[in-house]
Amino acid sequence: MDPNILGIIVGLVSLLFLFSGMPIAFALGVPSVLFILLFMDRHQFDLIAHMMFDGLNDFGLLAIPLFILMGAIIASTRTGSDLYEGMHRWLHRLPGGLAVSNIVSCAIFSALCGSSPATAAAIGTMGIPEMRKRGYPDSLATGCIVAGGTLGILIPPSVTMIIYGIATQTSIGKLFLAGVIPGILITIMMCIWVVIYSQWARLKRSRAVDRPSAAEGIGNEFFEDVTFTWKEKVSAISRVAPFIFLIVIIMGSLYGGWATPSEAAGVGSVAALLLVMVIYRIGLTDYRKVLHMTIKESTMILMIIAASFLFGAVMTKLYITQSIINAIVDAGLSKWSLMIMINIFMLVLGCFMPPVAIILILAPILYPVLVKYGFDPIWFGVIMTINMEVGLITPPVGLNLYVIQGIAPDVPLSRVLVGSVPFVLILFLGIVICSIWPELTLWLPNKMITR
Amino acid sequence: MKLLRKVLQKIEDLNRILYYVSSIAIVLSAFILTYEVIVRYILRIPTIWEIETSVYLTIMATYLGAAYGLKDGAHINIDLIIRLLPRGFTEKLSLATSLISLVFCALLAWKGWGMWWEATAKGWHSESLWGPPLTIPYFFLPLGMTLLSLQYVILISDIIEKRGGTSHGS
Repeated sequence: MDPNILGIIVGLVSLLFLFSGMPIAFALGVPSVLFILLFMDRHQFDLIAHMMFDGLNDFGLLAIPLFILMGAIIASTRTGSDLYEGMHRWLHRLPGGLAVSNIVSCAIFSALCGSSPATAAAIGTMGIPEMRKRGYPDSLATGCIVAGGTLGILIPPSVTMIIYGIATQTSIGKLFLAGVIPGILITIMMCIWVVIYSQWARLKRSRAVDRPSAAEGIGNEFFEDVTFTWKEKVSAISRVAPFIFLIVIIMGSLYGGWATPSEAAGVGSVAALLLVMVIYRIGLTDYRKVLHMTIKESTMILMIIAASFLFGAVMTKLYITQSIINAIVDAGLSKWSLMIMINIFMLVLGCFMPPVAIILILAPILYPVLVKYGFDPIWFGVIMTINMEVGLITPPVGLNLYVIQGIAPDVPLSRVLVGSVPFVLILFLGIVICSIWPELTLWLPNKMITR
Repeated sequence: MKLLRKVLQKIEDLNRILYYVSSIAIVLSAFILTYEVIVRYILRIPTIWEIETSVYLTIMATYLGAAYGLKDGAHINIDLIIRLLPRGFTEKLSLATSLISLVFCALLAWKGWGMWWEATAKGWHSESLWGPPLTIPYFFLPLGMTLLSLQYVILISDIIEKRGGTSHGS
């Protein structure tokens, strides 16, 4: 059969299974087996177990469960609240200081954790109630955590980038380093927005002193200054210091080329475990929780990866991948209109599908096209990740929104969305800035010492 | 019927134990890699078995953890459309998708046992320098898929019995 028609049929059938509510891993596996049976010889069918096995027989993949483990260990402690409390003691002079502290804490936590919902949960569980208690508007309190959490996949380690690296055979270490500067940049832009918004709210209130209704629902502390002594400020650092040390070790070993991302993840989790044992002395139930979180996330992601390996092999063997690539190249788009189209397509998909599935399906198709058009695959990995971040905060399928609803169930979704819109715009701005100045992403990985 | 229920309950208990064994396997691979880093980068001694062992431990964790992961709601799905459908229809749909998934897992288990038996009978070894027999890593996929199939049988019988079971994954 003509690969183009076959491609359309395979695409529609796969979408049908994906949207049927079947677990994503099986929704990718079932159509693969179906098309092997329909269009390929029996020998290929005998190999399905081999393909599923080979999909996971890759040392690079180990970084996923191990970074999940490290994130779970750290999330089991009070690190999240220690972080933002410590940040608050230093940043409280800024308008909206507590919200700024929460965003910066999300960014720092992202350097220890590769998943966005986990970052949002770790900081938000204590951060959102605290901000609301101190009178921050609900939309800002939830919006900054929803958005700050997405930094989890941009600032290394990042599960999304590991998957992208494996799907496209790009260096995961370089991808990690490429995310550092855009991550810091987006963090700063988010903080600037919070400061501007809070300053604006203060001005509005000072103008409307006679009409207290203008600042209705917003408590006092949002506007007032709190002060901390130097002793408090220093003690805040000492509590956060071990984890900063951990970040330095992980990033240093990647940058220096001493360890592959998987090895860094292994050493990082053991170090985190020791830190937690010595400093926080967590209880037996907490260890159980760590184990539970680790296996739940890992088996989910790795099963999807194994199934997508099968799916990808079928697509390639039926020449569907190649015909889609040819169709895109033959469309004769200019370089940047192609990039804009790809971004819009990914943003739409991001509203409906989790990042793991999007990357595993799209990356093998897009990679050859991008190379042909002269885009840098490392740079595109960053663009794709920022794109996926938007998907995490847009309904209907926004994993971070679910997390926030779990933490603050009484805040209606519409308020959360109002609060997160500016941050979505900041992420768009991030994509634009990284497209105009690709050096922002590529400078650091090119400096990396490779061996 | 009652006996069958009992057997299935035992299988679920086994799967739960394997779930935690699997997560310990991940922790173990973290320790193995830490050891590997120390030996290779600090003591400068070439390593042989560490990386391959940790890869196999992860494969074990994935496939053996998958079974109880189903019960635990680990395997995420896209519930966008099914949330909009009428309740009676979603129940039938989740029954249908569970049956299809069961068939898929059973097929994988069947082909997986074939793969394992071939590797065992012919004494295949991994192509690395260390070269462990492949019968060990190949064992996890069929075992895990068999247990996952049985976990699906439990899920399906729950759906039929209650007719009020929620869709899996949520």
